[in-house]
Amino acid sequence: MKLTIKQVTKTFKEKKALDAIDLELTTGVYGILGANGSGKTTLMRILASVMKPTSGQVLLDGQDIMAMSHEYRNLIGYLPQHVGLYKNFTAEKFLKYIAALKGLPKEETDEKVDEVLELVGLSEARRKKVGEFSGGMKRRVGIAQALLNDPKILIVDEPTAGLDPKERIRFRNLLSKISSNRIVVLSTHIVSDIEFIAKEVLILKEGQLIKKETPQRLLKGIEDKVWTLVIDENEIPRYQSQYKVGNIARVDDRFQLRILSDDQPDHDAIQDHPNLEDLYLYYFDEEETA
Amino acid sequence: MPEDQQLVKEILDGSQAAMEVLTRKYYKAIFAYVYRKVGNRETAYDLTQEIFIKVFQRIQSYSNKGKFSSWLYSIAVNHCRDYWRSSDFKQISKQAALNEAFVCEQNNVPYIFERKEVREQVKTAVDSLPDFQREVVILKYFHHFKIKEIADVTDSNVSTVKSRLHQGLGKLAKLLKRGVEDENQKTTPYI
Amino acid sequence: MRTRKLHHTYDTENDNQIEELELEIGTFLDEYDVEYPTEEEIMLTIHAIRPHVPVKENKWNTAIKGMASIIKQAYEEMFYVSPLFWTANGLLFLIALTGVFVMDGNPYTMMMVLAPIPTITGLIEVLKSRNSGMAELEMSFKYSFQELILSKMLVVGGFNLVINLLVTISFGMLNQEILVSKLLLYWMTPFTVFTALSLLFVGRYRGIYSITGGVVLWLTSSVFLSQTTVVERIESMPAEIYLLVIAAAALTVLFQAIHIYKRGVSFETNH
Repeated sequence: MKLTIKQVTKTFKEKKALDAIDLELTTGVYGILGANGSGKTTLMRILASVMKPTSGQVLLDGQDIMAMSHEYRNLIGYLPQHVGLYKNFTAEKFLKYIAALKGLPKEETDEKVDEVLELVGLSEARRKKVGEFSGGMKRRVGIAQALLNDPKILIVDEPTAGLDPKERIRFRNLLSKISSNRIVVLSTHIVSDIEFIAKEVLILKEGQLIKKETPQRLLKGIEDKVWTLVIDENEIPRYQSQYKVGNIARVDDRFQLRILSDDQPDHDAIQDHPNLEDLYLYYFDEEETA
Repeated sequence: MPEDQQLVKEILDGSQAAMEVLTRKYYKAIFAYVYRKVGNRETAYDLTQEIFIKVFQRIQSYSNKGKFSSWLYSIAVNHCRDYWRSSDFKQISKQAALNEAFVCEQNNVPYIFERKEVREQVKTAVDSLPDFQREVVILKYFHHFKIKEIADVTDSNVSTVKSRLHQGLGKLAKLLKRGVEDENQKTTPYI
Repeated sequence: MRTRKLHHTYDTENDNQIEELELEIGTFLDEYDVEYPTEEEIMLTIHAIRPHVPVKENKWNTAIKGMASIIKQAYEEMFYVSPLFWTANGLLFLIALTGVFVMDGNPYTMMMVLAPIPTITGLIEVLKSRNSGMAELEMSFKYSFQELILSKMLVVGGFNLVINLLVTISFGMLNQEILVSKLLLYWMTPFTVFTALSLLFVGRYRGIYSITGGVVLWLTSSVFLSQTTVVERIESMPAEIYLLVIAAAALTVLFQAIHIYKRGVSFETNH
């Protein structure tokens, strides 16, 4: 199974949200990294066929997904970034409703709903109203509905936004559990979400695809660009204005800065192993990482 | 080609006659492609039939944007690739080899023999190319496709096609010329 | 091996080399002729293709299929419409009945005023997915968003129709003086007009606005209807005019439904 994105461009009025994206996706998890406004969500919507590209096309095994229509939508599971749920429905009723909308045969519905509830760990809460759920639980309901039709292509936009760290880990584990035999496209601006589960990381910036690599290869690319340096507090602003500064940690009464720079920022600076957070900082501006 | 679009339109309206016209128009070209790709007549016949069935099953999704022939070839290319990957390929190819050996013996007339030998050599050489190289070589040489068209039909880009073509043709040249040299060596004692 | 090393440079030199290679081995390649199938074999293939030629699209068949899937979905939707909708509208009609029988109101104007209420309140249900942010999700489902909108409208409109019929029947049975045909005309007109308007709204405007619009429109018409002079004038209008309005509204409903089904509801925002 192969999803081909061919010269996809999307323009909103004057603004180019996506600029001639070319991509090929096969089975596995793809993490799309990008700041707000980088075109992530637009790309996701086009993949989910809820939005038409201004030009270019998306092909599944050579067939245009827009022409496939029902046939394509039957193959995908989509979780939009801002998904509302019917608050007065219980989790179970909500999923049954979605199953009906997805055209699942009635006799399969009950079993399938049980299965996805179990998978996302909501079996206990099945009779509770969705409106009373925590953010993490709502996200899990969202994932559960996406999985109802056993999709071959799973598209999840910013699934971990607004989740606490514990829920994020849980969510990650869930994703890696369900990612076999599917194309999973996951967008996030939190790097640790995809560090260990993504087959490839795609970096989008201002509507353009600037990198498509395995996480390991990407890290290799900035191997000699990460430095740590211990300085006094009053020196911090100087470094912040000159370099991309990541983590700042207190060491006794001084501060350790994590600096991204092609050259050694100071002769006391020590090289360190890069992680994906560094990578993100390297490609995006500091304020975007907040 | 406006003519093809007209036929497609009629086919969408359910015209069997238009289907026949369109099929006949491209049958031989597609068959030739498949034949050289799989190197066996029976298999090529079956695959060609499957390709055309696929074409008419999907005719609704053919958008008038591109040339019909390009769309048709891209289905053919993909179908052959799928066949190549499928499990029944190996079985059939064994069987085919047996059949062919049998046919060869039957046709063992000295007059054809010489030509046939060169042909067999070419065939073996073409068959020995990796899948992607064979594709582009066949489309370029036997179907006179432009590089850009090949790129469209094989779902790749111009530079990839060029490099595949270059490698494929280079390999063929090496194989075929070595073959001739072997022949020459064989014949030298007589000179 | 030289040629191989060069394959990374895709320039005219490369193109020339490709051409040269073709010329070089052309005489060999030309020997690779094709054993084409016989005419009979080609004919067999053509016969095998025949069943796969699209059957001339029968407009009626597709229309019926589309309708069937909408009706099927409407049936499903019934179980998911909020209970509030059913009870509120049920109550409303109880009030109408009491108004007529206990307080001796004019049954015709009463019907006229109340007839479109379920449709207007039903818009809340129809637009529920937009208001709760479900629309984007629903667009990605097998059943298209437009099918969903229409099936919801069908549930709402159908319910409205049933409840109006029930009231008409009970009026007719309990009060011999009432002209059932006149009563029918009196509620069919606002009902069809409002359904048509709702569909027009649903196709064009987002969310809560259409409901507000519907309510405002309804209130103004109700105020008008409470004026005795207006009532008299309306009553003096010939039945043909009512029929004409009903027909026009019904046609609008039909065309608007087809329009929504075919074109969908736009979802082209960026945020």
